[in-house]
Amino acid sequence: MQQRASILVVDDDPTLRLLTRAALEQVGFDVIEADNGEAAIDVATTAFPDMIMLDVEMPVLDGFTACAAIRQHKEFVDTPIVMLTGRDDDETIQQAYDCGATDFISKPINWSLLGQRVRYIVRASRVSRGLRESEGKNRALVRAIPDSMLVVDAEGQLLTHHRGASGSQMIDDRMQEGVCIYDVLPQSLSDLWRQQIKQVLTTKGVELSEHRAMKNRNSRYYESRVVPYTQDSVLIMLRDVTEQKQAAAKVRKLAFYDTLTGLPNRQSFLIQLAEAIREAEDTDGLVGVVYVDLDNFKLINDSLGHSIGDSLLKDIADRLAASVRRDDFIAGSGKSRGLQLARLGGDEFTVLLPGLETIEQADAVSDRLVSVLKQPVECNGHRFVVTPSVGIAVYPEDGHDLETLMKNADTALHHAKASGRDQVTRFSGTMSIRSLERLDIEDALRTALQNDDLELHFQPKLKLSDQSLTSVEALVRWTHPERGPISPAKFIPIAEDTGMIIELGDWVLHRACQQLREWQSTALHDVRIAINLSPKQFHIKDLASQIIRAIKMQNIQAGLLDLELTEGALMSDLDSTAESLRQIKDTGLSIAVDDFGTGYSSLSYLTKFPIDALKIDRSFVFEIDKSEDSHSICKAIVALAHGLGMEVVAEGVENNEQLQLLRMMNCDEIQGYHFAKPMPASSVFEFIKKYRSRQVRRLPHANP
Amino acid sequence: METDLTIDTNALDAIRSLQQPGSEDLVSKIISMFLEDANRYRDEIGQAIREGSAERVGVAAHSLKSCAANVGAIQVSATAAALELLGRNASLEDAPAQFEKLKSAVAAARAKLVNQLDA
Repeated sequence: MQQRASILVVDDDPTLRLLTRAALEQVGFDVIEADNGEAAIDVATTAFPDMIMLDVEMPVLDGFTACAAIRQHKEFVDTPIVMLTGRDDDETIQQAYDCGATDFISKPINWSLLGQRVRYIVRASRVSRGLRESEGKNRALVRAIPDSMLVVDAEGQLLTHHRGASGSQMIDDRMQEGVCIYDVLPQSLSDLWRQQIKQVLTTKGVELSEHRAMKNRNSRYYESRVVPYTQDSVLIMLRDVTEQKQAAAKVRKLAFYDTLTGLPNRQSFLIQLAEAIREAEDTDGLVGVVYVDLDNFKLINDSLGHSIGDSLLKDIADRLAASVRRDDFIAGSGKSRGLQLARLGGDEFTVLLPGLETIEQADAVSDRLVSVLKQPVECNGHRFVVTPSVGIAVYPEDGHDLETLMKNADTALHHAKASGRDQVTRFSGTMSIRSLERLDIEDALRTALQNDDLELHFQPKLKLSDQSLTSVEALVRWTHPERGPISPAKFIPIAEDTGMIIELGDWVLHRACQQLREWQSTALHDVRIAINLSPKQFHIKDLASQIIRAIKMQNIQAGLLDLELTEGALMSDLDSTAESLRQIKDTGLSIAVDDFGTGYSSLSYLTKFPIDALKIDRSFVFEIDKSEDSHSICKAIVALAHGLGMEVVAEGVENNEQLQLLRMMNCDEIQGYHFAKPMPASSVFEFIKKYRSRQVRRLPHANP
Repeated sequence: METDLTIDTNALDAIRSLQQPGSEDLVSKIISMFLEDANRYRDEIGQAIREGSAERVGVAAHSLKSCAANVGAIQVSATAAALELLGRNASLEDAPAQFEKLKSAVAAARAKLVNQLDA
């Protein structure tokens, strides 16, 4: 509800004031009074009436002067002031107008109409005040809005405009009121807006569009809305949406692109592959999935640092991209087949080949990738040759769905790696999961050998005759960086199969010699290390000279190194074995037969070869205290060895009963958890030192 | 048609139309105020004429003109207006004659209005 308006009535005639009050109160106004111009100014500036009625002729200060004075106050700029005048001649009315009066009422006053008359005046003043206020609010609103606005008539003439705070390159200084906007805008925008203005003036709807403007070689983006303004003009609102667009692009980039190389990431590859499969289903087409992995990338990354690794990856990505671009065009047609390169992570890339016509095309693309990648890379002053391994799977032959295709491409890739790297392998159904695991281990073992992830542990042997500890057996241990320790029972056979055992054996030989060298200057200078030789290694032609080289390299006595061979190794080629053993023997090494009793039954070889010791297989020792047979076999082996002038070592001794039985059989040495487990070099060093110092104290009581 | 220029009863009717129920009677009040003031302004005008003060004649005549008009005392208001003009123009030659007219007009108006009060 509107507040009651108050009217200030100024007249020196009390009768008139009384009647005016009566007339105004009758229609609901509050009335305040003053009896001359000066009093009127005082009352007005303290009570702030909504309207003032001023008599002209008054004592002290006349009405015109008072009116002019009241208008000076900012509170009364738009307050209606009505002059009451008995003289309605032109001069008086002009005077009233000049002093700022809103209206005049002639005397004598028509009392019955006065109330209504004043109501009209007050309402009109309220309406115009409201309009003025809302205009002020609109002005503030427009000032606050960062958007730019143009008001344009149907012919394109600019009626008014507002340049938003965010600044619009589209509204330059030529954009002045009165110009035809089509003369100052770029042609394309002119044409668009001309059409949109026509449209909205007819439909009264809104037209939206997006624009790009170039400034200093930077693109900025604008969104425009054309809306009807009056019957024949429109308002065009221009908003700078560059930041939103950039943010959206950045989000898209982060979600679907790899930040290092700028290539599509795994996520976009999955989407593309799913799409390609869907299309191939409809068209009975082929889709090739090519996995590319850089051989030994981890080694480069680890040894030269991530920044070089990263720039290498970028370089590789660029080459792949260039190669894929060249391959992407169907000769003659100039059409793209839509080859898509992506980085799955690490050093793994993929190329998606949709719309293949033959499987051979996938091979051809892959071969080209390989040859491109094999070109030497210059990177921060380093020069590399990076060879890739590539695995291919093709829809529908190698899988009907995304997961299978990816898994099989990956399997093929692992086969490529396992088969010696630097090659392209197409998936085949015979690549089973089991063989894949083998391949994984093989691949990891190859890396382990390069990265020196292997370690030698040493298991002490105890000489039963005098309780002395003078020899240890070296055993390979492998801790995979992700899988943890991997059992020798698992990786040794794989190494044997793939031939890596030779490299592995060589590593063990050198490592053992190195260890002997380290012990030379310590209390352990007399401790011998026994290493195991695999059959394959044993048959290398110059094994003896290799051993000699290793021994000489570390400048150690040959007598500190023992060799252990299985029966199988000895038996495969008797003549060459005899020759090899003699050569080794000549260098001063002693030779033991490992796992004795489980291999060949022919014992004659024992007399033919220069063998120093037999190691009773752990399976007999394990049952020596439980099984008569095992007990007898052990006893027989001891007798056999002693009979042939050899020593006997029992492996896998786990408890005191076994130890006592072996002692009674006159077994020379024992080895097993009961005495000591295999341990790293530093631990075995401590163990032996401690054992020997106790041994010294115990000596008087030994052999009671 | 007889026209009584002493009192315009339309003016009093107009005032009556402003009467709020329960309020003091407006017409009676206005008439009382006139009866009170009219003699005072008349005497002031007479004295000012005798003393030759044109300005005082003008001021008093202006007030009387207005308050007479309020109660519809047309003759009084018109005569006061004439006197006001004389006062403003500072020519009081015709003033005594006009003052005589004013006195009788005031008397007539008073008589009529007193009747109105009684009515």
